[in-house]
Parts: sequence; structure tokens; C-alpha cells
Amino acid sequence: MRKAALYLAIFLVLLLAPLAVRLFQYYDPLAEAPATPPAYTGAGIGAVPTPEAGNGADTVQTGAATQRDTGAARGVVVLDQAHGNQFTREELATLDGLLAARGLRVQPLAEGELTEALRAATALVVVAPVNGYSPAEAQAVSDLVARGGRVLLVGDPTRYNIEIDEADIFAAPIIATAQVPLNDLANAFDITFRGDYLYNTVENEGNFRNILVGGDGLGDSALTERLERLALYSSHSLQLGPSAAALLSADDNTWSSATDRPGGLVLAALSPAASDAGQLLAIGDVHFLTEPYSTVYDNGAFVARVADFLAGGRGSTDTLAGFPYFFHSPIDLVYSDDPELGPDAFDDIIALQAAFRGAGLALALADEADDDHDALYVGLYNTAADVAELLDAAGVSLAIRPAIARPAITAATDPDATPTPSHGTRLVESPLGDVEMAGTALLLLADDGARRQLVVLAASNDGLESALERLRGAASAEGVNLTDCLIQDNLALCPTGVANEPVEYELDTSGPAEEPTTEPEQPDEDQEDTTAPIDKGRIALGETKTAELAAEEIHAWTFDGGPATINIAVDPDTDMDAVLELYAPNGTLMANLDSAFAGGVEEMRGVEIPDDGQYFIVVRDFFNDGGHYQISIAAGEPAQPEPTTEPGG
Amino acid sequence: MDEDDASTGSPLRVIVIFLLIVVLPLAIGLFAAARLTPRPQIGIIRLSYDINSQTAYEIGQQLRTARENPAVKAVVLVINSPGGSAAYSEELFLDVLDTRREMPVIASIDLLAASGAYYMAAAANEIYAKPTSAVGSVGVIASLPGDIFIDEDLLTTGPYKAFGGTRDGYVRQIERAKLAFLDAVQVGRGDRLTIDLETLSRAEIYTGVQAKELGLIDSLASGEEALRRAAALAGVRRYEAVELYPLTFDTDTIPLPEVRYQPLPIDEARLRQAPAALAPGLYYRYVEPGATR
Repeated sequence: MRKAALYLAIFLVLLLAPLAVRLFQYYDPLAEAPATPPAYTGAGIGAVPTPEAGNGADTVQTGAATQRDTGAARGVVVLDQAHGNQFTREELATLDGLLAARGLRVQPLAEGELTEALRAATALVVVAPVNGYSPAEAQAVSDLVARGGRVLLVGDPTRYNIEIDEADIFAAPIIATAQVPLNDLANAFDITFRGDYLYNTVENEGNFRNILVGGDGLGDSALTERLERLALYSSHSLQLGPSAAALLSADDNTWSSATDRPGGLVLAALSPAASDAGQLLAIGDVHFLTEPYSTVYDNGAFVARVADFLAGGRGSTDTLAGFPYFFHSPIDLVYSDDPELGPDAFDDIIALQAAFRGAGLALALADEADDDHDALYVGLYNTAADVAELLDAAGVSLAIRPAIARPAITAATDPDATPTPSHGTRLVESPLGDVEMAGTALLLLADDGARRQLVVLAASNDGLESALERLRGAASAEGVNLTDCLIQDNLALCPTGVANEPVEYELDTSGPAEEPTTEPEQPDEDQEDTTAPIDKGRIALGETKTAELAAEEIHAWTFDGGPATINIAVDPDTDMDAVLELYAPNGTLMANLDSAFAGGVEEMRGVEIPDDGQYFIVVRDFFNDGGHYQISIAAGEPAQPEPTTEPGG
Repeated sequence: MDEDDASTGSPLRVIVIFLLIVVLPLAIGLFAAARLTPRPQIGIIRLSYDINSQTAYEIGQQLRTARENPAVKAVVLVINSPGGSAAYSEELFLDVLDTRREMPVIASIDLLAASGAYYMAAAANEIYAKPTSAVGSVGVIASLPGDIFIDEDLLTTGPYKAFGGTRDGYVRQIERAKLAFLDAVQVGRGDRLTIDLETLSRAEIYTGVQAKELGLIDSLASGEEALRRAAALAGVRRYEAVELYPLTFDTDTIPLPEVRYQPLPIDEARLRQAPAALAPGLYYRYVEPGATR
């Protein structure tokens, strides 16, 4: 039995031995046990909070006139779209609406010159351009700020330029994310957009590149007043110089992709920091302006503040240079002196209306300007009674000098000589100086706060046509071109370009005359005197003569002692305001002088008489009352002629 | 008399007894041992190129094979991948975790284990890489949906039926996916992770050396060492490294050497090639610089 058990044991041992050997061969019973696999439940996945929606109600500054009130724009915001700007108008719909609510008119600039467009602007908005700006454009932006305008520069790291190698169209496009053409404009204001983006992996608005700004990050400014938290959705950082101040700053957990360093990063800035007038606001992100991001936290309020900022701009629309944008629709077009309007007048009116329409303004012909409407007065100097008060208020007077008749003795030597005017010298006396009406158009902007009235006067119908053409061309987009005018704020004296322009007395709206107009009769006898001068005979060098000038009388003395340089002096009695004139043998007015009041000596010094022809020295009384006077011719020293006013000059 | 016969025994009897008592059990033991304790295998599963439905299926099936095959005692994942679809990456992560309950899984990174590929690797017991392997890119990439609109002829029962959701909502979904990724890495790596999650969320690519310092991997080691480590964790002294792909998909139906399964060498250009376009969706994928636009 024991033997059987032994056999069985051997059997079993030998049966299991291969298994044991194999197990020992393959496996290590002392091996470390692998770690228990972790339990994964997803419970550790954090939440991503949805931000609070801000109060979307817009609060326009109390008291500010709005477009809703008047239907008129209180300023022009030029929106640059001419530099490859990477945005759509739809994206700026929120800002558009806020600007409109503030009475601002957004003028997109897709083509044309920024420099021209800014002449009529109160503010400029530039968003994410990919093309650079010329020095002239940068200067125009600086000029806008200098005259009180506002500029908003908005960059965005997600709006970049993609350059294609035209020499190798199969080459990979170059993505120029580090180029920020906005710096062409911003650098003049001590602001530089870095070619980076900001990120915050610790606390952000749903994504590392969505930067939260709050607390100390909100600068001390009306733009950030009462704001608590803003979110900017991908932003450049700004580098500031001494004249710029940070408006929005990121916290210490925000990093710049350019330096991969945190802290001290600015997302928005104002420059000049201390200015209450013109300023430039630079912001590194465009998304906060767009929906739905404009509704997050206090973004909506901030966008409204940006609109307020733009509405605070002053610019050329306060002055003539802002034509036609200083007008508020509707505008009454009033022809002074109520003329009968001919077909050409209608053409002019239609063209003017079209030009105003192009500027978003409604212009309508009216007999009289409505007290509630702005007005454009058009007329001749001689028919300007309707606007006399406006002219007086501006310190402008239309002075008509007493008439000077051409001497009866006309030049036998030059029968084709240009006839001298038979009327008096008509001047526009203004704070800018005195100029002759002939050849000059006057533009005067009167703004009493309630309405704006533009007066356009010229000496002739042709001159008026020229002035209106200037306005028509300018009303398109860029504002009136006054570069060749003598201009001061609201008053401009512009050349009409009409040769030998007469001073006409009647508004002729049937069209310009084909032939040079003949001076019509002066209807005002007090102002016009065509009395022929009385020949008082010869007066020689060194002679002194006396004469009695009767009322309404003109004396003509003949001097034929040339060539010589002479001084001509007229010494009148105290009641007589002498006017002294010198005519050439052909009847051309060489010089005239009325430099003294009654009783004062009028003296032309250093008058060059080039030959021995008959020159006429005309003496008259300014008031045509006559008087006793003494005239003398003395040898003079060559000198500059006495101040004269040349006809047409 | 009988007992004497038996004790002294004839030679024939002795031979019979020897055969029955010694040879037979040895033969049976050897036969049974070969059947009952086959030579242990360390299964090799290769994740190459993008993670998508195809690769996720293939890897999942191979992991299943490993779990169901008693000879396979551990798995080594050989990774050369920039990641891919988020959901498939997560599926692989969960499959690896499942497998770990039955056997050790070691991840061995060759050239690249980025984003979703690292997501899967994070579930392994241990991760090995080469000093210059590219590791990391812990983050999400996705395209936001376009503007919403309504169509006259296309009627939906909700404002986002045709779009899935708002752009802003999608941003938050993406952020949530990032947090899920970070959580998975945190779960998989546990205390070994020395990099903080905020820094990890920068989604940088690290070299193997950096990844070791940051706790993203366990060691710098070769593929052979990964096999040895897998065997050690499985308590295996001697093993056979087997490719699980042919085992899973039966590629050796024609047993000729020239048609036997051979893992293809990695095409680096293909590995680093950016996708032509990312279809809408969430991706745990690394895209080479300059290829995201």
C-alpha cells in the first residue's frame, strides 16, 4: 500500500514538475505588483462659468442734441476702410447705433484720401488696418487731434495681413501677425501696438486669450467710470511713452505672447493723457465692440463710453472748413432779394441739392429761411440786405466808395484801353481786412447755437456761380476746399476767378452772360456819381494851385511834365474829405488815395511818370459836398507807390 | 509468492512501472504545462499618425485581444501620433484604463505623443520616451461655428438646431474639454506630475528630457526597456514580444514570410503633416506651427 502511495506521489510530482518549472521559468513570484489603475469619473473636470450680461441700456449724455431730436448729425466720424481694414460694418453695428444716438454721422472711407476726409471730421475710427499710412495721413490724424477731434485706434491680433509672394504663387503665404500698421498713426501719440497677443491661463473669460480687466486694471478716466469688469477677446498689448496713459491694464497673471512674460501689460491707452479736448484712444481688441461680446460684463457700458468719447470730438465741423457737415437737415436755400429764378438757377439748385444729399443733408429752396431750419443764403453783395444782420454780427461791412467817373479826356493814344469802372470802389471790410468785392466771394458761417446759416455773396452772377461750384464740388465727401481762400474760422474770402469781374446789382439766375457785362447804372444815386470831371487845366512840376470844388463836382488836372518822379499832395479845407486819383493817358486808373479823414492831406509820394503824356490828377470829395483845396506837384524820390487798390485786385 | 514476484519483478514489469510512474506523468506534465502555461507574451500595439475612428477601432480591438488572450501578460503602446479627434482620444484613454485592470500597460513614445496621443498615454502605468521625443500639447483645437441664420425653406424646431449652439457656448465647450484633458492627465499621472495644471494648459510641446522633469513621463528609455519594464510589472521573467495587430486582425492567413505582418516604418513627413482642414468638432491634436491657418 505504501508502495502504491509512493508511486502515486512520484506520479504527481513528475506530472506537475514541468508546470512548476515552466512557471518558475516564465514568471517571477516576487515581482512587484503593478499599481492599481486609478478610477476615472470625470468628477475633477471644472466648470467654465458663463459671464454675467451687462446692462445693455445706453445712456446718452443728458442735454446733448441727438440725431433723434433733429435728424441732423452733430459731428462726422470718419470710419477708415481704405487701408485693408479687417472688419465688417456688421461687426460695428453696436458702435454705429451708439454714435447715431449721439448725433454723430459715420462716414465710411473706402476710397479716397484720408487727409481729405478728415478735414470735415470730428472723429476718426480706425480698426485693424493691414496697409500702412503715409506720413501725410499720420499728420492729418495728428492735426485732427490738435484741433479737438477724437481718434479711436483699434487693433486686434486675430486680424492680420497675409502676404502672397507674387513671384512664387505656389509659395506658402506669409502671415504677418507681428505687423501692426496702426503704429503709423499711434506712434505720434507715444503709443505702440505690440505684435503680440495676451493670454491668461489662470483666470480668463472662457479661454486663455480672453482677458478680464477689473479693479486696479481700470484706469482713472471718464471712459471707465463706474465700470467693474471688462472682457477683451484677444488683445494686443500697448507700449506707452510719457504722454500716454494706460486706460485698461491686465493683471499679473496675464502674459504677452511676444515676451512670454507676465505683468505690466496695457490693453488700452489714452494720449495725450492730460488733454480734455482732442485725444486718441488706442485699444488692442476689436471683439469687445462686437456682438455678443459687447454684452458681457460691463463691455456694453464701455462701448457706450467709447461712443461718448468720439462724440466729444470737436473738429472742423464747427468752422467753415467743415462744410457741409456743420449743417443740420433740413436746410433752406434762400436767394437774397427774392429774384426770379431762371432755368439755370434750377440747374444750380438741383446740383447743389444732389451734392448735399451726397453728404446726407436735405436742402430745399425757400423764400425765407424757417426759424427752425439751417439756411444757405446766396446773393450778390448789392442784394445782401437780407443778411445784413449776419454780416454786421460778424464784423463785415460792405462799403461802397464814392463814385469816380472816368475823366472825360480819354486816351487818344490807346482807344482799345480797358475802360475803367464808372462806379465807386466797392469793398468788403472784414476782420480779415478790406478787399474789393470784384473778384472776391464771401462765405460766412453764422452759428447762434440754435441754427447755422451760411452766407455766400459775390460781386457778380459769374462770381456767385464760381462760389457755388466750389461748394458743390466740396459737398461730396471731403468738405469745402478753402485752401486758396483767406479764411478765419467762420469767414472766408475766396477768389472767384472771374476776370475783370464787375460788381453787379441784380441777381440774374438765367445763366451767366456770354459777353463781359457792362456795368449797369447805379440805382442808388447817393452812392453813384457819373458826373464828368471838370478840366482844371495843366499843373506843372513845382506848382501849387488852389481850387473850389462845388458839390457833386470832380476836378481833373493835367500833368504832362514827365518823365519824372513826383509827389502829388492835396490839402483840403477841414470840411472836405479829399480823394485823390491819378489816371494814365489812356484813362487807366494808376493809383488812388483816400488815406485821411476830412481836412487831412492826401499825398501820393514817389509817383513815377514814365513819359511826357497827359496824366490826369482827379480830385473829389468823398461826400460829394465839395470844398476848397490846394493841390501841389513836387519832385519826389523814387519809392514804392502809395497804397492803392487796383480794380479787380 | 505473489508479493515476492512483485518485489523482485520481472524486467518487463519494471519497465511498465517506470513508464507509468515516471514517463507518463512527465509526458502529461510537459504536455499540460505547455498548454496551461504558455510562454508569456508582451503585446505591442502601435498608435501611428492621427487618432480617428479607424485608429481608435484598431487600437481598441488590439487592447481587447490583449485582455482576452491569456498569453498576453502586458501591453506596450508604441506611440507616434499628433493626436486627433477628442472623443476617440478619450475612448483610447478609457480603453487603456480598462486594460490596466488586467495587465500592465506601458507607453513608449518614439517621435511624437502629442495632445490626444498623450491623452491616451496618460492612462498607462508608465510612460517612456526618448530624450528628444515630442511630448505634450495638452489642449484643444477647434473651429468656431459661423454666423447663425435662418432659411426660408429649412425649418428647425429650435434656434440652434441647425448650428449646434452659439459661438460663445462653443468657446466654453472647448474650455471644458481642455479641463477634461487636464483632469485625465491629473488622474493618469497622479503625484508623478510636477508641472502645475495652469502651466500645462499652455499646451506646449516638450522634449522627452523636459517631459521627464515635469512628470509627464516616467523615464527616458528605449522600446526594449519598455518591453522589459512591462514584463517586470507583469511578473514575467521570459517573454515573447508579439505584435497584436496581426494577432487581432489575422493577417497571417497566408503563412509566407514575405507576406507576414511587418510594422511599417514611420513616415515623419506624414506624421508632422498638418491636416488639410479640420472638420467641425473638437480635437486633441497638435498641429505643426504655421499649419493652423
